[in-house]
Amino acid sequence: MFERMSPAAMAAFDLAQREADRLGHGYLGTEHLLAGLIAHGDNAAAAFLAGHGLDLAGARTALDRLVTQGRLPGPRPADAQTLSALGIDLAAIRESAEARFGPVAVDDATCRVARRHWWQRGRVGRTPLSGRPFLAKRAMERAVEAAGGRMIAPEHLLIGLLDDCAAPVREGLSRRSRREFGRLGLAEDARGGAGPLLAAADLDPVALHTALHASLGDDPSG
Amino acid sequence: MTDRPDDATRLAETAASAGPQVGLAAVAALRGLLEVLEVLQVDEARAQGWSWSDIAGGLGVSKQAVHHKHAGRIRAGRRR
Repeated sequence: MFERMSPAAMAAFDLAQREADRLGHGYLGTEHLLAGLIAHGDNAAAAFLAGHGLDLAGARTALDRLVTQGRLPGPRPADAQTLSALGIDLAAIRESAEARFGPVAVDDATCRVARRHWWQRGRVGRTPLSGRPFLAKRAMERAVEAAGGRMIAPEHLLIGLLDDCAAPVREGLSRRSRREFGRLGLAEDARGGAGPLLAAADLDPVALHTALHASLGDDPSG
Repeated sequence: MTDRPDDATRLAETAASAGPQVGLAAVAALRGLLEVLEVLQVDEARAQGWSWSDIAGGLGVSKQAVHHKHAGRIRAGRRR
């Protein structure tokens, strides 16, 4: 999926990570992705949102307000910070492991440890080397659908995000998933996502979705 | 390690102010890190032709334990 992303979309993704850093969030959700698209600025999605009155300052104000209201989690210490409390330098460990075994082997091992089942002595769901859990998978799927066979551009990501707002990911989760969400600081009734962010900026995802399709000259049903 | 004084003082402050909340989270993170490093080292040792009992000796566990934990993964990796 990521190899089909356009450079602008990749840049927006990096900025979304930066936004999650700024808020001290331990996950990457659609709200960060939306802010990342806006922060990138030089793309059709940001231009479209600016046309509807949502700029970076406005989005950040809305995000901060959602955090104060408790609808998004507050800042939590990252793994690197908690480990530094024990005197362990996570960056140094990653560096030495990558120098010794190669980055691919380290990523591979991280993935396998995190995916090990209980009968394989799987005691670890996530490791400090895993990176943030990605909670915008369905938005990405929708973006891929919207892109068709083309490169995934920022406007496709925005279509995916708006599609995803219609039914937030956090509905209909299993007990185990709800527990995992709780660990990330996402309470069950405090649904994050781009939906509340758009609502805080007085925008309606459905109306935006129709307008975006119209401006791209696509058929929304297709 | 931390040779810069500001780093060292910051670390000392964090460690001192850290309650059980941070401490427990740090232990959980450390456990994850440990598992990754174990997988890397065991895979490397097996690739160099070490026996399970040699690896078990290095890790300080029984050879059955290390075989039970890692053999399935390495076998699956070879099939790929």
